[in-house]
Amino acid sequence: MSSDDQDAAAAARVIAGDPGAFGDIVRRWQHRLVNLAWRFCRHQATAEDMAQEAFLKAYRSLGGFRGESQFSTWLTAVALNTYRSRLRQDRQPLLGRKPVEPVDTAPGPQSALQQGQRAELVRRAVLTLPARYRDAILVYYFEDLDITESARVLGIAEGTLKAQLHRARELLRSRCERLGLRLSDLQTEIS
Amino acid sequence: MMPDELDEILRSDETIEPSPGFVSAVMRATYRESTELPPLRFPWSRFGIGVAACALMTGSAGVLWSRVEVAAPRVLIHLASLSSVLPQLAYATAILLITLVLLSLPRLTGRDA
Repeated sequence: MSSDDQDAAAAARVIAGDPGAFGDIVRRWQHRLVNLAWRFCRHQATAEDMAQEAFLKAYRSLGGFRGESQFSTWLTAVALNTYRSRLRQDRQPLLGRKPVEPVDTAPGPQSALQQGQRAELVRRAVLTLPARYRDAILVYYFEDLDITESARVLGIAEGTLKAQLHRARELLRSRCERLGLRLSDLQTEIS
Repeated sequence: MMPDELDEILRSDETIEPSPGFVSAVMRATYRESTELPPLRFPWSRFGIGVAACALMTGSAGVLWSRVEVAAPRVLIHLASLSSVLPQLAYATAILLITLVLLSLPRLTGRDA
């Protein structure tokens, strides 16, 4: 039985009045939803809180799942909308509580240690982008979703997503340069 | 910054493991949600009865109004016939008022006539 079939079967049991069957769905998708939330807030407890909210929203709207898209796509879209609402409610990026500061890129003994911090700053800089570019980046690079599935999750056309990704990368590059980050410095650490 | 390098950084983001109690926390919230009383439904039947009653009242008022409109000219005819004796009525009313004032004067001044 494929994962989609298992999800469809579990969803059918939930709709038939067995809320316990939802546990199968939560166990199967907890990692994806918590990690997607983590990319929006970079804080584990907040990410789990957001993911729980997303699961509850999915539980309430399971009856609306028609099977027109894959269950994973539907669930990720529900989660994404939940996280967007959460960010709008907070009126600031959850990350904004910890400001992104320029870093010293001069070579030295602590340089290797700083490589990871710099990469983290780049990821945090993503969260300072306008919402549509931020979402495009976070979804596209999340678990290596392809353009088609990312566009479905975001509810936009593939061409629109490609344009948003291009613009988002440009914005991100200029912001990183303002923070004094050079990607060539980071490349060493990643490879 | 080269775009390829940016891709590498974004793709290599670390992942976290959900806490051991995450699934049970979600399921507790789910059970709580499923055992809660469903929200009160909108009382469509009562709303329908109210709308029907309003429609009935409006219809009745319309019928009654059309009858009043038929009767209205008759009232206007009677009022028009009174207008010909209006000056006499005004004189009679004025005399009546003056008489009443004259009769009340001793009482108003505190002396018997």
